[in-house]
Amino acid sequence: MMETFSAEGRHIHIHSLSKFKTNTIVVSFLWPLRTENTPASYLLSYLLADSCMKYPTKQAVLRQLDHLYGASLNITNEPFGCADRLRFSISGIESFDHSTRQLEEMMDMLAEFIFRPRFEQGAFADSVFHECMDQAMIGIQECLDDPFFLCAETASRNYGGAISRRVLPEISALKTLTPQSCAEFWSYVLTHARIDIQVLGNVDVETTRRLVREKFPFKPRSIRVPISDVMHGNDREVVIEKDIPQSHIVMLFETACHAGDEDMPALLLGNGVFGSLPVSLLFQKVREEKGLCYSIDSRVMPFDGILRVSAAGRREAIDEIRTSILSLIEDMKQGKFEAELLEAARKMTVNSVRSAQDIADALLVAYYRRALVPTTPDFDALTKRYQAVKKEDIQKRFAALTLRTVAIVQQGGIADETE
Amino acid sequence: MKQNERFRECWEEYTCKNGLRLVLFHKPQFFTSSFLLMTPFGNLDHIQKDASGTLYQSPSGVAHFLEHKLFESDHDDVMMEFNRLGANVNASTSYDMTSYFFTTPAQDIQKPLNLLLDFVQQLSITEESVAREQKIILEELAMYRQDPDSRLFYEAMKAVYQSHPIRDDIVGTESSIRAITKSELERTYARNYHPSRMTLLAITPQEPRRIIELVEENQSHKSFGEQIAVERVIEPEPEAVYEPLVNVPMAIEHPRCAVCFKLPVLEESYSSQLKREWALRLSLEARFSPINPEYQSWIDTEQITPYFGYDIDCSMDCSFLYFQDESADSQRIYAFVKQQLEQMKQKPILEESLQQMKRRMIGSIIRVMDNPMDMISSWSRGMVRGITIFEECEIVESLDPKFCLKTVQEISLNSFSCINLVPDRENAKNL
Repeated sequence: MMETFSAEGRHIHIHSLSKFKTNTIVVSFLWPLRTENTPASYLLSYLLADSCMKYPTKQAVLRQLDHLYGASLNITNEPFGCADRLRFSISGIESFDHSTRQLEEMMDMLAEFIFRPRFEQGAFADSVFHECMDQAMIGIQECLDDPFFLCAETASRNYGGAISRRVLPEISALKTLTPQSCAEFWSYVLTHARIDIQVLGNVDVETTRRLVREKFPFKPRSIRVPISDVMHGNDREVVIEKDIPQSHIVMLFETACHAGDEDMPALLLGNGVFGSLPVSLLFQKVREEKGLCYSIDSRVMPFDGILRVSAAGRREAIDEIRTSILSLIEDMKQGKFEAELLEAARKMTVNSVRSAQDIADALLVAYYRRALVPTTPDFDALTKRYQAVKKEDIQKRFAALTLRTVAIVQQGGIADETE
Repeated sequence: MKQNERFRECWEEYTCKNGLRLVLFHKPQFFTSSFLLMTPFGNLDHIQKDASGTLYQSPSGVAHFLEHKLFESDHDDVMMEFNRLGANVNASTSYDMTSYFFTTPAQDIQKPLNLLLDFVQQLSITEESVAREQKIILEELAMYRQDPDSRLFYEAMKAVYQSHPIRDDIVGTESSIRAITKSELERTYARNYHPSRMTLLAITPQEPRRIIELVEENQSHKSFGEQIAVERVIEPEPEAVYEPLVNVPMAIEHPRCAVCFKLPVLEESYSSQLKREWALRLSLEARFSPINPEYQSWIDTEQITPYFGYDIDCSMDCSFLYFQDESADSQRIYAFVKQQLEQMKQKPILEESLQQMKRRMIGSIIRVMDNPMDMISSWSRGMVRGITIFEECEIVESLDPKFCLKTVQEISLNSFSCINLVPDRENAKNL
């Protein structure tokens, strides 16, 4: 059972379910994505997660989480589409005596991190700032050390539009931030961003609503946050050489189809046939039959209107992998896929909708998306839409695909000796 | 029906006529059924012996290779068959077990369950498909090689262990993967996939009795050869490490390092070994985590970074402590860790800290129980040791500061290796 209460930019969503023994509270802040703000958004996730005024040390934070029987606290920067987002979440077991005590304490702890971050004289404490800055810089370098991540970021950066604004910030841009500028940005987010508070677990709706209003007294705000990015990507190909044992390719196709569109189920189901499922054409033809790679995948990015196809293999195989991918897209356009494959994909996709209802995190994501894009169908309606998709609908979506950007990170120089 | 009132779980245990064991959790509120079929055969088992002392030796990585090949059948692709039924299937190989699992929200679980049992209980492969799979697995190996965390751990095991199979990646090595043949796979399969060695775990809204009937019905149509009881053979491992210092050049921007202490293996029961492992684990957590008020000062004075971490393994035939950090200087990290470990031998952990960690464990078990796949994975790992997750919790709750101190005092820090992953070859030469 889900109930939503909305008022002036603040939205409370309560999902009462008795099947879980844990409760989760998520507070999401959403605002328009802008390049000049992304370094601060990124660093804020580290600054706000480290500590707060009530729990000023890591030891104090951990002690309180263990008092809540090992509750899990996460504060992350999760931009998507044209929106930037900070997500605060805390998840922990329900009280053994079925009272609201554990839930209240979890809310109290989350509220401390939101409303009373570790400030000194109106800015983030120096010691926290410098440690988090080091952590953030190492975090960026570590991500870019992963050749697949580097390839995906390179493709995104060159595509343009919102996806290019969501890449990791440059380290030089991070270094321009100060404790004061981050505090000011957080103040802006706290007072202007759209707010969604989700509570999922074995909870009473009215009691929980009262508690949420009491613990999270956000002031009214008025902000419009566009979600989907409707733009044409750049026609570009970028190749990077690195001393790595395996090469990667990422191809970004413009789909002309976005979250909430009538045709989105056809695109998603078609992608199951094409590349996202183990029975898909990419997996069966490129990996299993030709043995060209171990990992190959395709993913619809519904808020960007993009289909991303990625694969990893030997350097000398990358051209053949690319040709195979393009050839299979042609096959999809012409309907050259078996009815049996389509029905298997349909069954898998419908079942994954049903299975998601047994996973708390998946439910929270689905409900949040529906809150942002009201035309997103609920579970039952989505199932019906998938059941109704015809082969021609899938062909039509694939016919609308346009390859825009390709990024390759390939072996160059002396390869690593593996033994 | 077995029960654990504290964690509000109940389950059925049953052994089929052919020895196949079933463990079935009933979760009527969930849509999804999850099934996992496992054999206690992993990468550490590539040398085995039977009761007469006959040795059977396979190339490293054979367990993982078999996992890949079991998805083939004479007439169709198993994965496609599961997907036609709307079920999601996968498999995994670890050091000491291989498991095959599927999930489905469908009411009819008979077909996918029969399919799971049928495809795992029959191996049908060709020379051609083995050759094709070699290429795929070599790519998988390359993928792990370029992940810095995986690479660091792999290099640490290679440096510490002289002959123990843990020094090989679970996937094997390039040469061992190429050495695996069709006949080797068939022989290994026959030894390790007899039903009496295997366990089926399930978490399902369906009645457990129904599952038992379905499995017995499926098994009644099959016959299996006589089981050759085999056990793992690990060649004696010398106390000294293989290489005390290793520098590995890698295409990374930020260096990483690890320090690994090889600990002696003790002759003891599973429960004693688990108790000892937990005593060490909690002692390490009390020292090397924010529970310790000094931890922040170590970060502030740059003795460690916020990415510092540790792990411990005390299994029946190998035992180590593993520390890693974002640094190019593993020897400095070694000096720091050694100093802390020596201090740990001087005084016990605080009772308050121990209670804090015990509370954490209770919460983590309940959270695992909320996620069917996490639950089934945890339970299967416990099966290999013969201890349930609830029994493990009791072991942890029985620990006291005195026992933890005694366990720490017994560890020897004489055998260790330092490993550096460095950004380029020039730096590796200069270290």
